[in-house]
Amino acid sequence: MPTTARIVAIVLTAILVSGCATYHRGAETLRRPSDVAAIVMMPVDVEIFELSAGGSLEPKADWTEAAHRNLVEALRAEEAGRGLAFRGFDETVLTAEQRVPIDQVQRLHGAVGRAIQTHWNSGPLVLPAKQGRFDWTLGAPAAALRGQTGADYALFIWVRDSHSSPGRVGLIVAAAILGVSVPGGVQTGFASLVDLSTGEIVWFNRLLRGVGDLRTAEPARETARTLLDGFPR
Amino acid sequence: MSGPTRRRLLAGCGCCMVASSFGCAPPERPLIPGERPTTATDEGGLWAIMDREEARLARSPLRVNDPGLERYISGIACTVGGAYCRDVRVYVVRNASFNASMAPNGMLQVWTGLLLRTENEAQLAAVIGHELGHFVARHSLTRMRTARTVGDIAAFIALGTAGAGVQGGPQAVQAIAISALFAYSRDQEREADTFGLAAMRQAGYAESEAAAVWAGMAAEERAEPARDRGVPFLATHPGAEEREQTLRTLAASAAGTGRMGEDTHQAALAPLMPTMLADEVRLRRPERSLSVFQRLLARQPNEPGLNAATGEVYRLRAALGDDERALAAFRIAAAAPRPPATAWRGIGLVEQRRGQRAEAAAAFRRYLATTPEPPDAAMIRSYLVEGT
Repeated sequence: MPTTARIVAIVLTAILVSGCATYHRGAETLRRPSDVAAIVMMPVDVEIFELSAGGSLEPKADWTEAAHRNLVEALRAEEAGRGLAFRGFDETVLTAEQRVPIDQVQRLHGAVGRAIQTHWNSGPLVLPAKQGRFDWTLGAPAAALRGQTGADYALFIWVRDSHSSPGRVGLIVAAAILGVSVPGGVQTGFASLVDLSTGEIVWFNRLLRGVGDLRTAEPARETARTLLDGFPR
Repeated sequence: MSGPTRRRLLAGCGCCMVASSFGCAPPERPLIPGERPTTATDEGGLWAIMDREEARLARSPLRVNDPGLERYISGIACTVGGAYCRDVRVYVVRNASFNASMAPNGMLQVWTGLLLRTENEAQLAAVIGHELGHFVARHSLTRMRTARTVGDIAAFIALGTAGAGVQGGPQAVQAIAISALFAYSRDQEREADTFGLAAMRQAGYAESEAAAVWAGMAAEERAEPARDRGVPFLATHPGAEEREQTLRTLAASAAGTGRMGEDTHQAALAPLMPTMLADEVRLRRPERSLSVFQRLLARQPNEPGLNAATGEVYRLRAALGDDERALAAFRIAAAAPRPPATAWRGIGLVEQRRGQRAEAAAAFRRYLATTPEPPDAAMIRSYLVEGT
C-alpha cells in the first residue's frame, strides 16, 4: 500500500509541473518605422479537445468556437496595455490568385512553428547546427504578406488545449491512490512574431502547461496574457 | 482491506469487464440527406474538424484542378448518391496510391492512383458507392465512439490488472483492444461493400464491375515480390481476394447487365493520364506497375502512353531481358502519330546502354526534334556529342 507521503509527493509534483508554463526568446524591442508598429494578427489556429479516460482526444466544436472568440477578444484587450496596434486579417476579401501565396505563408509558418516547438530548447532534440542561436526565418514568401497587408509584423497564434472528461478525472484519482501518476489535459501552443521585411521570426513564445481554459472569457484573458508574456515593447 | 483480498477483488472486476466490454458502441442510424449535426455533439466536433481539413485540402497544391474531371466524378457521385447528391463534395488528389476516402462531413477524396486503376465508369462508381456507404452509415462516428469506449475501459482494466500485480496485464489488454478495433473496421468495410452494390444497381451500373476492381488489386498484390507485403493481423480492410469474392457473390444475384461506361471514362481521364502514368512509374514498384499497365493494355494494346510507361518500367528495372522488352514497348509507342516524349528518349537510353551508338543517336535526335522544350535537352545533347 503506497504511503501517504508518496501520494502527497505525486500530487505536489502535478501542481508544480503545471506551474512552469512558457519559455520565450527573441527581440526586446520592436522596430517602429512610423512610431506605431503595425502588426497584422493572422487567423488564430486554436482547437479544444476532451481527453477521455483511455487517452482519446475528442474534438469539441462548441468549445473550439468559444475558445476562438475568447482568445481573439483577449488578444485585442492586451493591445492597449502594451501600446500595440493589431490589425485584423480578413481572408474573405482575397481573390483566388491572392489566396495561394498567403496560404503558402501560413502553411510555411505552421511547419516552422512546429519545428521550433520540437527542436528549440528541448534537450536531446536540440539541433546541434544552431549552436544555441535562435535564428528561424520564413524567408522570401513573407513578402507576400507584407504586400497584401502593408504591415511591419505578423503575429501567429497556435493553441491546442484538452480538458479531462469526468472519466479521466476518475482514472487520475484511482491511479493516484494506487501510486501511479496519470496526466490530465494539456495546453500547448505558441505565439510567434514575424518581421515582414525580412521574414525572420523575431520573437517566439512557447506554451506548455497542465492548466488554462479558453472556453470562458476570464481564463482566456489569462491565457492571452501568458502567450504574450515578454512581448517586445 | 488487506493486500491479497484487494488484489483478488480487482482481478475479479477486471475479468468481468473484459468479458462484457469489447462489444462496441451500437451502430448509428443512417444519415438523413441534408442533415448537419449540432456543434455541441461529438459528431458536431468531428464535422467541424473535417470542415477545417476540407478548407485546407481545397487550397492544397496536391489537389488536381481539372474542372472537367471533377464534374465527371461529381456526376457519378450524384447518380450513385441519389438523395445525398448535394451532401457530397469531390476532390481529386494527386497521389499514386490506390485510395478513396469519405470524411464524415461529405468530403470525398479520390486519389489519382485509384483513377489510373479503374477501367470504366462502373468501376469508379463501385468505389464511390462504397465510400458513400461509410458516409451514410456514419462509420467514422461509430469508430470514434468505439475507440473511445474501448480505450476508456482498457485504461481502467489496465490499471486494475497492474494494481492487482498481474504480469503483462496491461499489454494483453491493449493487444485485445487493438485487435477488436481492427476487426470492427473490417466489418464496416463489408457493410459499405453491400451498400455500394445496391447503389450501383439503382444507378444502372454493371454490378459485376465492383468485383473487377478488386480482382485487379488482387492480381497486382500477387505480382508483388513476397518480401514487400504487409501484415494481415493489422489490416483495417479485408484482403483484396476476399473482397473480390464477397463482391462477386453479392453481385451474382444481379438481374441482367448494367452500364459500363468505358468511353466516357477514358475521355474524362485522358488529360490527366500522362501525369498518372509518370507518377506510377516513379513509385519504382515494377511488378505492380506492370500488372496494372498490362491489364489496361489488354483493352487498348496500341495505346501510346501505356506502352511508353511500360517501356519505362522495364528500362528502369533493367533485369535480365528487360532491355528487349523495353524496346518492344517503346517502339509501339513511337509508332503513334504523336508519340509521348518518353518513347524516343527511352529507345535512345536503352540502345545507349546496349552499346548501339548509331541507333541511340538516331533516337535521341528524334526525341529532340519531336518534343517541345525537353527538360533534359542539355544532357541528351551531351550524349550526342560524346557519340561522334
